[in-house]
Amino acid sequence: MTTIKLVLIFSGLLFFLTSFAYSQMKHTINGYVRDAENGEELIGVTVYVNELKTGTASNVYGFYALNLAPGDYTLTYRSVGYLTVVKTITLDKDQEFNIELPIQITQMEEIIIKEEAIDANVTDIKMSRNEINVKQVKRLPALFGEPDIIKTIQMLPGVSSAGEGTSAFFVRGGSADQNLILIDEAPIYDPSHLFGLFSVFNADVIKETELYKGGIPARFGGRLSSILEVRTKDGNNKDREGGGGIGTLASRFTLQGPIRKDKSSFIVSGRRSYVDLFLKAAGEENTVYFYDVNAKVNWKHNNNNRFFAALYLGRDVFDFDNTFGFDWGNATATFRWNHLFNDRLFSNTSLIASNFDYKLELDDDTQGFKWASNIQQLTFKEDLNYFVSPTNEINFGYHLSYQNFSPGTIEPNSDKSLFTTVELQKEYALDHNIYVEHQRKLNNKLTVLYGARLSFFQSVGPAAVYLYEDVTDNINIERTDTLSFNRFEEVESYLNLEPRFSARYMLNPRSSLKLSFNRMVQNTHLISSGTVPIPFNTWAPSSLYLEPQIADQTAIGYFRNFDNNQYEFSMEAYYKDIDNVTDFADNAEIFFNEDLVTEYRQGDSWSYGLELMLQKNEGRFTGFTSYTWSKTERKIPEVNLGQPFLANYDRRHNFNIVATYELSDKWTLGGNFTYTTGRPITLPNGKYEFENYQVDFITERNGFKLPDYHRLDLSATLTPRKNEGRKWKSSWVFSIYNAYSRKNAFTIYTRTLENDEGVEDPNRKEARLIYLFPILPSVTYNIKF
Amino acid sequence: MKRIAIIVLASGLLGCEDPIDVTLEEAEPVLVVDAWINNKPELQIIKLSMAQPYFDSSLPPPVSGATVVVSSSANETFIFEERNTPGDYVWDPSTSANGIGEIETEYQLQIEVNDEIYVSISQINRVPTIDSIKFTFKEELNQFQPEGYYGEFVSADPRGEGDTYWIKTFKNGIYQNRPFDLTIAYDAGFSQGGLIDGVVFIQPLQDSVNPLNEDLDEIVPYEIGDSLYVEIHSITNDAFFFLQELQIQTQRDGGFDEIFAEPFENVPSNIINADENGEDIIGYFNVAAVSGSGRKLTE
Repeated sequence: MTTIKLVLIFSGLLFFLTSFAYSQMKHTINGYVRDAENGEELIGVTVYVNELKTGTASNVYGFYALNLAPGDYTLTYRSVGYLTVVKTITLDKDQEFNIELPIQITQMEEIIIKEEAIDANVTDIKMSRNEINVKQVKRLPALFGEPDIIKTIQMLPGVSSAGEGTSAFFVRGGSADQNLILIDEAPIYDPSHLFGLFSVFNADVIKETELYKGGIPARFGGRLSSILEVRTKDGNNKDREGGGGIGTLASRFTLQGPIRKDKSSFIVSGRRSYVDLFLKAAGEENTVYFYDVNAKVNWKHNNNNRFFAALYLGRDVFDFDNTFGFDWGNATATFRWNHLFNDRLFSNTSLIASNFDYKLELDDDTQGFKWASNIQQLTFKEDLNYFVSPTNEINFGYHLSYQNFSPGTIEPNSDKSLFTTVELQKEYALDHNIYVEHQRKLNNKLTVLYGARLSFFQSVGPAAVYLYEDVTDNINIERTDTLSFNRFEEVESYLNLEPRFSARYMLNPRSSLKLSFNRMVQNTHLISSGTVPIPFNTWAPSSLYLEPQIADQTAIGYFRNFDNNQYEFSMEAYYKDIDNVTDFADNAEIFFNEDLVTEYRQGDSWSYGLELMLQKNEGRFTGFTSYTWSKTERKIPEVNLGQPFLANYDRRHNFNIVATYELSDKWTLGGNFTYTTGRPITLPNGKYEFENYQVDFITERNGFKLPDYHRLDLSATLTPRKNEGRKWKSSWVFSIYNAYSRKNAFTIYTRTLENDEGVEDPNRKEARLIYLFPILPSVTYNIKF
Repeated sequence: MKRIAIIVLASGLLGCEDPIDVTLEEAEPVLVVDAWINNKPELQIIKLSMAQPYFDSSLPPPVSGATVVVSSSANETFIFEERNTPGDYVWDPSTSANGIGEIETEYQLQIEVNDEIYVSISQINRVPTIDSIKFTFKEELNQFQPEGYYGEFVSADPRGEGDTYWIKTFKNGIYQNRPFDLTIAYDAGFSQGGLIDGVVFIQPLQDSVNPLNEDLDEIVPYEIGDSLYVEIHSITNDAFFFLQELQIQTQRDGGFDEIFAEPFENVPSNIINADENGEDIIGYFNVAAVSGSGRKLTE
């Protein structure tokens, strides 16, 4: 392994130096690309040098740089949803060139697309990656009228869900905890509100959402299967602007504007549900609500130094009769400094804090208790982009995280309580990562991106680690010794090299082949034995008894555009193999168990699939359709008698359509259709009697497939004509969820029926199907000023 | 915790459930052994039967012609013989010179049937005596606990962690054995992590002798003339975990609980085939020491 590492570092250095040498007689043009209307930095805008038939794209901070020989150039700036801007420049010295792209006022005018226009779907080296257009999401049918990006993500190729009403998603055979969910670079440990009915992402503040399923850039690590990167708006730096919406279940408002015009701006947004108000009206003394707050400020010191501070707070609160209550939530804070060291070396320094916690409380004289748990993370990140030339770009950086896991504390909440204070051991970890990645255009057809991430994970003290007679014996637990560790003393460490490689080969101007390989390492493990994680699950770091999970994924893809790039088609096949996938023993006690380590069972998982996608981003009719064929299996020691079994989120076929159509400037129609094979569950297939109790048993885990799932949702967005010329602009979104009211199985369970006398008759059994939502209409009223 | 989530879902949403026909792969027939014996001076029975496919509506088929022997570390042998009821293997302490009883004696169960040999080992553990049975008249506390006489038993777990018990209730002589009646204790508390040792059984355990109504939504208080008899059976720690799993499985009441339920898993077994490659077996062997006390509710 050390040899590979050295070769990599060396070759990286070599490219660095050679490119330095031959770029001496060139000049650099760089700058930020922004939205002309509100000054938001735009991500992924292609900057094309017509004369050289090459170009670059703005990075995630809206920054681009091109290093060119002196001369006259025509630059084309292009991004979906914006008018294309063409500029001619004479380059005789280093230049700063900030660009503002005007928004396409109406999609009614069909755009004339130039033949040579480049298209990221085909030409970009990235594959296995999807962008979620939040503007479209807002016009799609939404459950209870609450637009949710996670619901659209669940319809992308290679992504599946465990069923409706959950915010968990499963990417290419990975479980829900294998997704790294980031909001402004800060990790979110549980993205659910109301047990998953909605996600924590308020659609009003989202600027950009990207999902990486494969070919994952080296700047990301820490989870096996995907990266969901959500970036929030920076705030309009030209004009003050407000907006809001009233939905069936929740309301939201947003305010943004300049603090000093063109220099600094802010955005603040809030959302709150009001189910509890309905409950109160119905005479129920229960409290149930959730809220989200997003806030961000940014200021431009000068073109070389920009600062951002972002905050997210979200919480769900449940309280019953003032006797029993619980709540959970995420809180994140991000501070970022964008700095230009020189024309071509862009730096982003981030300080990130993230906290997820939950509490349960029972108010009772003798049995009252308070149970609390949390996970905290502090991260320092230094990411650098070095724009060597339009054909040559190097990204490198260093990340350091300190994690603090508090799996649970139980305290009595009265003197008479039976409970004594019990605290499960806290765990601490340090996670160091360095990475380097080099993108090189070898010729007009072939571009390669290669790099690696080196992860050094330390489980550190203070800790008291128990040694066991047999750590896999979870019934007769025998501790033999206890090892004590001081603060920051290493308990165990793991060093892993994660190679990343991608290549793109242009077959012709309209089609390309792409290939990628990535190794991902995951050192934070979710302690959950259910299919859908619940907010009361805890996390644990890799340590003495828990090894890092490692996934290798290879993907190949064919990308083709049709009809002047109006239609983007992709076909990808992947194979993913996971070592040390974390699972649990049969009948594991995962809640409040001091000897939890005896329940750990790590095994293998493998999955493969084929994904097809056809997408249309421009014009009156936009949307995508996707089809996925996939299979995921697991083999865990002692589980299912050591035999392989289907993962509980395995779905053989998965077909989706997501579309919006602008009927007129007044009406926009939207629709979702999804059809998937049912996921496997475990049902008892045998029974016996023991001490007068009826006991059921199974012969295979996940041996029963739920019925197929399909559902159609429809929506219509009304933007009244009287909006024109008014400061207050309003719109209505009407949605119908599950239009033909199919009873889709959430799950099936079996039970013993009663005889005529109301006594359970062991010889009469029945299976029952649980479904969540029949046809559900909803209305949302939106306003903007 | 789960149930609260369900209230939320059920009150806020419109979810429903329907019966459905499912085709399940039929489980292979497996030998089932119910070997739960004790030191009471009454007939001790070990039952052998076959497991059935889930939707089979016939009675469980008994297994006849087996040799069932329990032997102890004190070199005693107890032969269980199939008598009148097929599949029931019986040993009668009244006709035997020696008996089951010495605390901390180890017992081995050996069963020979259909050319296979199955074995299991258990140990009889200490059991506390029941000092008294009490009835208290209580006003209506809530919907769940109406006005009436509530029974409780007074007994203390001996000092020393790791005693496990099964507490059985007999109301008017009838053993209460519905899934929600199953009460087990780890020391004086509900479970291992509780760290409640060497004290009187916690109140919820003492209260467990008040059975629920048929709909499981209300306690049925005792009336004048009713009798209550309580037994504490000592069980091994692994038998405790076995019953805990049995409890989780049999008390699974379906409905919306299933949404957050953990996957269905088999309850463990402590009887094994002497031949690793032989036929599988399901069942449990435990030898209990029993203490008991009763009282009739009079005016």
